[in-house]
Amino acid sequence: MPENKHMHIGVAYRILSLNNMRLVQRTALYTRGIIPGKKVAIQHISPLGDPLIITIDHQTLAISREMWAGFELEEWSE
Amino acid sequence: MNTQTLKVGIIGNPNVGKTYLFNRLTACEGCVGNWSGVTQTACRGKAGGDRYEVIDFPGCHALREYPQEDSANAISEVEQQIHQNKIDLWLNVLDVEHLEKQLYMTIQLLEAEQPVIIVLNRIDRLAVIQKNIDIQQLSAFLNTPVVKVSAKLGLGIRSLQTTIHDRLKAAKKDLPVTHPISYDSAIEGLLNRKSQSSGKSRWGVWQELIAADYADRPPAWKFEPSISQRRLEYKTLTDEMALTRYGFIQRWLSRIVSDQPQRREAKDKNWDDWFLHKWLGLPLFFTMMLGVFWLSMGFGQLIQGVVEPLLRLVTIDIPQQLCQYYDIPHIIEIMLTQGIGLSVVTALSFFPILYVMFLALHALEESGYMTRAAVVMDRLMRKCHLPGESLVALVLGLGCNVPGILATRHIPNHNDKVVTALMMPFMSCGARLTIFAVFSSVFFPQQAAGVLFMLYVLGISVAIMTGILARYSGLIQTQAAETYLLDLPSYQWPSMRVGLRQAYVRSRRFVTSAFTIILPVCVGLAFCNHISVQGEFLLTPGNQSILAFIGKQLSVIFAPIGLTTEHWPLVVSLVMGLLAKEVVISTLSIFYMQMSAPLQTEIPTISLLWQECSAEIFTNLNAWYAYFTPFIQIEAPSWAPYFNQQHISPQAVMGYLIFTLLYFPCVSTLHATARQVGWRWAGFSVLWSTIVAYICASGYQLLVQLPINYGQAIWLMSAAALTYGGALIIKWFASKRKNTNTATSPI
Ligand SMILES: Nc1nc2c(ncn2[C@@H]2O[C@H](COP(=O)(O)OP(=O)(O)OP(=O)(O)O)[C@@H](O)[C@H]2O)c(=O)[nH]1
Ligand SMILES: [Mg+2]
Repeated sequence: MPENKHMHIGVAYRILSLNNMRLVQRTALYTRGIIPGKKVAIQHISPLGDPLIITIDHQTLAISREMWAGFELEEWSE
Repeated sequence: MNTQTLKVGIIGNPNVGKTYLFNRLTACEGCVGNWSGVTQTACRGKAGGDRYEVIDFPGCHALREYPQEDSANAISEVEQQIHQNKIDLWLNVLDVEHLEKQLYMTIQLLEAEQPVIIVLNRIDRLAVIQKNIDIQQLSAFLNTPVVKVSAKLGLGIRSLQTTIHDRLKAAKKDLPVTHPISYDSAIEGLLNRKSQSSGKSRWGVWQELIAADYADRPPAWKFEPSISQRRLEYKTLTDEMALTRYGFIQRWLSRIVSDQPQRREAKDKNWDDWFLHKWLGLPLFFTMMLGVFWLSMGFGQLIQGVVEPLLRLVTIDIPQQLCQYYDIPHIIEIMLTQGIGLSVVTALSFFPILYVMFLALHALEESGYMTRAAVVMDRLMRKCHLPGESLVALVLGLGCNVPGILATRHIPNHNDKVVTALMMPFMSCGARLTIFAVFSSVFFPQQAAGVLFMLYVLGISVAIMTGILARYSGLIQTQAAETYLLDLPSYQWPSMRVGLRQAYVRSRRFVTSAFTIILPVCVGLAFCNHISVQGEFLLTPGNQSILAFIGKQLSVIFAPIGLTTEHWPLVVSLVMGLLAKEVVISTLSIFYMQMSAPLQTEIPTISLLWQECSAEIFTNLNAWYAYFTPFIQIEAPSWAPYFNQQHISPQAVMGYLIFTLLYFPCVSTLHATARQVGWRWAGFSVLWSTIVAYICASGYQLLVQLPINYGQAIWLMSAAALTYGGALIIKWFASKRKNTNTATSPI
């Protein structure tokens, strides 16, 4: 299974692109306001390791590791 | 004059307070909760002095613009309504907090040329989160009315009602059509061209364009230079539209909303640090779930201990007394008391447990913990190809299967819901625990706890087996979910008032509809119990009744389990157990008490009845601690000695207990299953659990009676073969239905 190398808890990342994902997944993200340019951070990793809890735009979401792997990210700098 | 009532639809993202608003506008009581997906089917209610009908739709994040292959939900209710232009006015509910993503659907609605009023909900939160929203600007940006409300506190509802009236007065076609966003000229050109040539609405053309993104072979227009140029910048048209819309929204929002940095997430994060903790998360989950289950069983049974004797007094004992006083024919008396009276008692005696259970569930849901629980357990349950929500339901099922089944509504995917519902009957409920306790106190006084433990483990393993079989037999199609994206609601304190009200509404709704099944079953059983095979009326149910006859006949089938003809009361108790497992012990006591001592026939006075009733209530209340103790020591019933003389072997009793554990729990569960996943699966569940019970119980006999009895072995094998055949037939049936579905699906 592909893994994202950006897995640090509490670090803010900038979403560069979502183009590595399937279109269905991308649309699902769009409807939650998750688009390139946004600031996203992992808050928790659930006890058994799979869904990641992320915050974006003041909303908290659980997302599978598999989908997270499709995010192209860089560390956020103002 | 318009003879049709006007339709007002409530639409918005999940968990923004649509149902709260619906409850405010109408006199209805829809279910609310602090998680996404509370409302699952549209609810309707009259409002505005019956002038219009309000429809509460399930929440959705956006209108789906692309066709979807899976036939189960080819097109949602909302999309259907938009497609057919059936709604006269949409109330687009927006939560003040995440405006940006919510406006996405608003834009879609406007592009679909739907008449819309924006309802800005939760304005009570504005002060807390230190946010300011410029309503005029928002209204100008979208060119629609915007109304501020707080559905929970009831603010602004009046002005919303007047706005609705004003809008409804104008004819639909007179309302201004706005396209808030202007797209790139190439796209606009394409849109106009296509809608002129095909005569379709702009939205219809959009859907066509979007569908091309998913098509295997792109249509010709995609290769037009102006369009194909853009594909360098954006991957598909879908991406381009989504990002263009967000571009517009963001530009406007910066003017509309003034925002202070928020501290809210900090609070949520603190709670999540505990509930999603690496080591504490799982123990906390089990503590929470078992706590809820244990407390609600305890309190529920305590209330039941008071309510049930009273109910019995009013619906059975007193009518019986009156009938005898006025010399009403016995058959009518029996129908009144054992038929109607008993069914009322059975249905209503569920009420306390359900009520407390729903109250606890409401607290879990409103507080926001429920979604966290699902997230915590997700990985584990994925191993069984089930989502975390299904474990929550199954744990609740240990208390009573009915709320367990009803809790499957948290499960987003229908197939997962079906599998969980199929697993549910094997979770041993509180009522079955009483049966096990009574029997082990009589037959295995030394190893009672061990027997109980073994039965629970057996039940849970059969449940897991069922889950695995359902998946791998291909009976239920599974597909790994492509997207796993779950909104975690913020934590909040549940409101007691709403909780009490909701628990009442939910349990009342269930009990009244379950009554419609319990009543005929009860009347039928009363009839069979008091009419002899020859057709004569029997005052006391006994050896000659139709029920006893059926019991004796059925005991032939139960022979492999270890029950013989002389154990017919046990067989009858199994049949009665279909009504509710609480009835099993009382049925046995009726039969065996008659055998041990002749029944008293003198008519008790009402005051005597009342004394007995209050004494029972008093004993129940006095034993309150027993309800909260996990392994209660139940005293052996008075008829136990006679029971023991029946030459029934401990193996046969074990067989009986295993069968009781596994066969279908009760009609109320059946009804709940049917409500959640449909009658077809409910029927399958009955068959499956009964066959499994039969195989397990007779398998047990076979094992303890080594050397193997070949006759029984053949019996068992044929039963297994029959099950497999049945499963194949159902699978064929399911696949057939699926095909017809896709054939008629609208896209
Ligand atoms: N503070 C505040 N909270 C509200 C208000 N209205 C609703 N809520 C909360 O919002 C949550 C969701 O309410 P529901 O009415 O169930 O939401 P819904 O939009 O019907 O949700 P779905 O049916 O899942 O789509 C509840 O926990 C309410 O407590 C409000 O005016 N103010
Ligand atoms: Mg709702």
